[in-house]
Amino acid sequence: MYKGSYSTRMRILAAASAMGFMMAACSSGSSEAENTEETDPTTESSTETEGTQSPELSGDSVKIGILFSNSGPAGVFGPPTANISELLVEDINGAGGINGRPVEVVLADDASDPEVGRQAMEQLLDSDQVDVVIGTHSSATREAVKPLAEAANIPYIYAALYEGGECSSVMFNTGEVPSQQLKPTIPWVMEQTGGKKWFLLGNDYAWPQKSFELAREYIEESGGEVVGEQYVPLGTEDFSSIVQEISDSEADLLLPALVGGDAIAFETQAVDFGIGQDEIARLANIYEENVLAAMGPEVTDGMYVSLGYFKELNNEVNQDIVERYSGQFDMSTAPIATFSSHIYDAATLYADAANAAETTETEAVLEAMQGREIKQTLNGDVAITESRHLTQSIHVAQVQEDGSQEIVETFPAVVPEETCEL
Amino acid sequence: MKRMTGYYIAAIVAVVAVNSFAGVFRSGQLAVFLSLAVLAVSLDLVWGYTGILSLGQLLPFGTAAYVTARMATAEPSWSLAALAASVIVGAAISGLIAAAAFYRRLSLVVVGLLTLMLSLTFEKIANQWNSVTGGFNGLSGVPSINLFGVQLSAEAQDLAAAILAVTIIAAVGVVVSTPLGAVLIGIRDNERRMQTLGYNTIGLKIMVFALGGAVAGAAGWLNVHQTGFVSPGKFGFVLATNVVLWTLVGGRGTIIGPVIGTLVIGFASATLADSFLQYWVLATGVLFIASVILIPDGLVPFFLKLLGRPARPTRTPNLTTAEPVSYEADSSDVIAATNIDKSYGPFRVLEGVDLTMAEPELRCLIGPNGAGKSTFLDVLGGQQPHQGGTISMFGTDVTNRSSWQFARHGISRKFQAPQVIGSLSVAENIAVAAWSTKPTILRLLTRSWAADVGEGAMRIIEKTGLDDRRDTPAGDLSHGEKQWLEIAMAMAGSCRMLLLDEPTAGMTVEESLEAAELLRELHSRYELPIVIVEHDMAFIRAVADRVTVLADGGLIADGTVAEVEADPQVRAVYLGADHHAA
Amino acid sequence: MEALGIELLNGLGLFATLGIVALGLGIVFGLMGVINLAHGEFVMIGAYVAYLVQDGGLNYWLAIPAAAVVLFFVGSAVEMVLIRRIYQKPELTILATFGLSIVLRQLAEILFSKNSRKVSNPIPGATDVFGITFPTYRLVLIVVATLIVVAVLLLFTKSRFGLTVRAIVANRGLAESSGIRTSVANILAFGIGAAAAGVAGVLVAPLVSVDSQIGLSYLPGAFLVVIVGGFTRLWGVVIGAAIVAAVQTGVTHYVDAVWAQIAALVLAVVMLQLSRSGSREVTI
Repeated sequence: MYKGSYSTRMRILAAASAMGFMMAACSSGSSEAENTEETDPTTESSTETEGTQSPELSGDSVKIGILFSNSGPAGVFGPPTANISELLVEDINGAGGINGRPVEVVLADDASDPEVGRQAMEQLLDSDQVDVVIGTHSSATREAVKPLAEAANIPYIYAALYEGGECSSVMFNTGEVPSQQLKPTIPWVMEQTGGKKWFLLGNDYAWPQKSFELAREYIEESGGEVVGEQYVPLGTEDFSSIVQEISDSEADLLLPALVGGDAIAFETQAVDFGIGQDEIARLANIYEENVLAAMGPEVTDGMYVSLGYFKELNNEVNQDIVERYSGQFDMSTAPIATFSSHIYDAATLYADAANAAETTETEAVLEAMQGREIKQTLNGDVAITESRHLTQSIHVAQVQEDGSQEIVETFPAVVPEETCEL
Repeated sequence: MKRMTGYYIAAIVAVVAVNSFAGVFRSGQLAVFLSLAVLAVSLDLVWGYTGILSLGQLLPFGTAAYVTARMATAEPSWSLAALAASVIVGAAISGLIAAAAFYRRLSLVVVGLLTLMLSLTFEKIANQWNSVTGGFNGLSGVPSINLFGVQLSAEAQDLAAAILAVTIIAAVGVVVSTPLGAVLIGIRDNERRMQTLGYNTIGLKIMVFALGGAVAGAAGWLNVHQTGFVSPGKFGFVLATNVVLWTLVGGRGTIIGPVIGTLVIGFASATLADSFLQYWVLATGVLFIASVILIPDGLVPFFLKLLGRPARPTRTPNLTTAEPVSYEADSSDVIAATNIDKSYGPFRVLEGVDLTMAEPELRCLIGPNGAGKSTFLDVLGGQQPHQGGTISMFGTDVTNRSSWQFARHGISRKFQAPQVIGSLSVAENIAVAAWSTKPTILRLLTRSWAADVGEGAMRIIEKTGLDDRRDTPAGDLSHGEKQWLEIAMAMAGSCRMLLLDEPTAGMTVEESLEAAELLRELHSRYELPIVIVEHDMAFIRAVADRVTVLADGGLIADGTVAEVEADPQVRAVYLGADHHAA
Repeated sequence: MEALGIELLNGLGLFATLGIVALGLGIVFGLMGVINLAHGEFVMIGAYVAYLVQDGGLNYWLAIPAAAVVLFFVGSAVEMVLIRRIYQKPELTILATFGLSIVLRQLAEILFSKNSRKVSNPIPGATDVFGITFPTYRLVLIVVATLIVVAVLLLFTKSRFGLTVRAIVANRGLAESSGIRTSVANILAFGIGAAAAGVAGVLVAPLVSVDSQIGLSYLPGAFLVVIVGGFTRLWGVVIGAAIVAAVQTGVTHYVDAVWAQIAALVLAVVMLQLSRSGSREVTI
């Protein structure tokens, strides 16, 4: 119950069996001194080498800490992240590890709560002594853990889509920011649908607020008009008055920045009130797989979704991962989606940078990260910008009659409009 | 005191040991859990010592955390000023809630709901008020504690925060081991008794809430310095219920229990949750239910019981006989109650009753069942408000004052069913009664564990054998012993008049005649006016100077025993209603 | 004018939903003085029953009796195993039912995973009411929920059973000595309260996302209703639902949804302050 508690730590080893992952006893629970931790993985590494195709890997493993939400309201994103972590360990080790060392992933759950996230981060940094932390969690957790990464001087890659504006010496932000998701797609959707009058509806917190601030700009630049903007508290169940307001506004386009259950409740009720996709076209910037599935195809048919990743992407890296993932895990209940794909890509970026730097020493890796361009990510070619964000392709998918998503447009190499001067 | 100093030193040694040997992570974790333990102790103070479960203990905690975050990020050296602000803000918030709850006499459940709703409201406001609270993301990057201009390093912060937390907890422990603690237990166990002794129980309870708020504020200050950030979750439902769980499992009213509860559950979850995830959450739900059903008093009292030790070690206060207080003789009537009306809703219980006692006398109040005798005694003692008429005692108008004000005026009351403080020892009961002569908080905090007891009370405990049972918890006494203990308590302070409701109920004939003798002795020795409600005519004949008869809420006769017995109206009433008493 | 009409219907919809969700909470609190923090989870179970019924290819409406029966047994069991032991200590019932809410939520997560489930609208489409087009299912919900709330309240206020239960509330000892079996009445009251929550869950399921967290979002609203209506009257649920629905709809319309929520909370705090006694005497 004390959420502080359920920081999940599972060690994912190269030898992870098909059934899932291995769970090592929590090191911190026992009385072992922390320095044994560094030197002890004799048992672990012997297991590792058995299963890997690259027997030349040697030395202590490089530890990648992953901070994510595996329980609480955002817990639905947890299972795919845990699953894909296994594949990323296989792939990095299969490609020669990091500077000849095997990698190991330590998972930590923030239970969708910043205080729990802070404790989990402390454990990753102080007790597990990870070499890098990759996070997909709320902005509130990010604010709570960022000072810890800075104090420990450990690279921290925040890989979730977010409101933008981060700038810290140890941080890179590889998730989509609103300028990427909206700048190219808003005029595109207006052209596709012929609509001009937008209604902006979001949950009441920083990400929707920032998204809408930028959306207004892009809409006006494209000759459109914002006819309404509303925020609802997280956990809203009844949307009838909001739906009414949207209906009254005579909008023909809707940008819904709603998360989880709120999104499902809103869309379900909107259809009942006769303002479904057929009446007001949606450009959604966070409706991902799980949420769309829960709304049902009769609700989602025709919606546009703008994100940096869809499992339908047809590049080789993605097709290979999707195939292996489908073989090992249940793609229907825990599909790879934007958050989990970014975890994989962030780890790939880190491994590439550390290999280029020929060390995992923080300063050198951070240096190597800066401006790095790589091609083997799930989202094709990406590049780290000077603003410590990621230039990446943005895709618009349209939900089909049967609920599947089809990529209808790709905007390659969209540069995030961020600045960062340290 | 010695034992507490020992515990304190042991705790400090343990904290230093963890910081020296267990590594940075464990030290930081310990400091966080200890800051939360301070929060749990603040709840323990409120819940364990007033019996009121506040689900809003996060209001002072969270507000203090935000205040500290704003102040310390603005200027790190304001850390200590932020502590002062946290304590004051915390005390103010909890004091206000308590004042609202107690003056409006809200029920336990309503207070629980009110505090929960307030906490949820604060959470929403914290989410909403971006410019001040940082909204959903909260405020982060709060620097470490700054002591007199010295910014603590991360390691020093862990140690300092843990030591400060242990010190605050020890300070609370000291407070509850003073006479004030015994008084608070008295209020929790038997608030009516304490009011009737002259304690302003509402004022004291508000003070306990304010103190709890101050401690919670300090916890908020510690927590925000330790974790470096604050977000609306500091007011959230999850933390609110966790604090209750820690306190419940550890044992409320024990101070050390909630600390153990916080540390054990905190560390257990941090370790076990790793391996069991959703089953661990399930297990905590089961733990909640199991502790409510199986060990509602908590682990610490449970284990003490197993070891055959009392949950709260009784300390026998040193009782000495007080110098008798002499009141200036004046010409006013002892009691002048005129035209008293009293009704419960539509039911009129007393109608225009007059009672005058010019000189100290031993007066019996009799009448058939339902005549309104006990209600009238309640009105005379201030336990019940009345609608019409006036009451003056020793020349002072005390009409519709509250119970504790009557008691401060020297009007002492014994109830029909004996009201003693079950978890305090006999001697503590007497001491608590005697301390009521100077019941200010400061005096209760600083006075020694001894009491000057009214001579009448000392005579009673000597004569009734209670003297030999000074260490026995009052809850374990026999019915008759409780009767005498209660009369002794009534006389322990500045008693100028005794109001007794059926003091001989449950006594044998022999015992009640002994009681009559003792009461007459007290009356004549101290010129003590006594009013007794009684049924037992043999007893009445033995004690009463004068008898007043009530029937159907009105006064029907007044005179000596013989006069009243001869009164035809009285005979009619008794024959018609109550053969036994006539 | 039309906008006002629609807002009126929206308000009615919210009123009906709040009323039926809070009904069980109000009964259990009003009659037994028990604050059931697991009430939201009873609603959640009802929603999952709707999902299972529809998923099993059966008619959605069968879920209403199914959920009522399932939750009646769940509620009775909870009363017999848990609540019965702690009637005398209201604060302990808060804690025990809180533990229960965690257990039920986690069991749901283990059984149904974290993904939300879809319950399809049984009557899609809209109907014209006085010239206003309004979703048919919502109209049906308003009628069905109101009927159930009124029927259950009448059961407690007018029937022999209701009188018996209230006699027990008024004086447990006296009721026992006059031969009324208080334990059976308690089980029935708690069971009916839970069944009402289950029916509420079925009725809201087609409007929302069915997942293990759903109870958490309904509980505060239900408390607001019970507090604002005044716990001492059973009909308070109706009054409370009406006031809260009016405030929420009004503030959302004129200001926004965030302030609507804060306004409702402040209203509850004020009402608690005004509730003079907070005593548990039940008046009708």
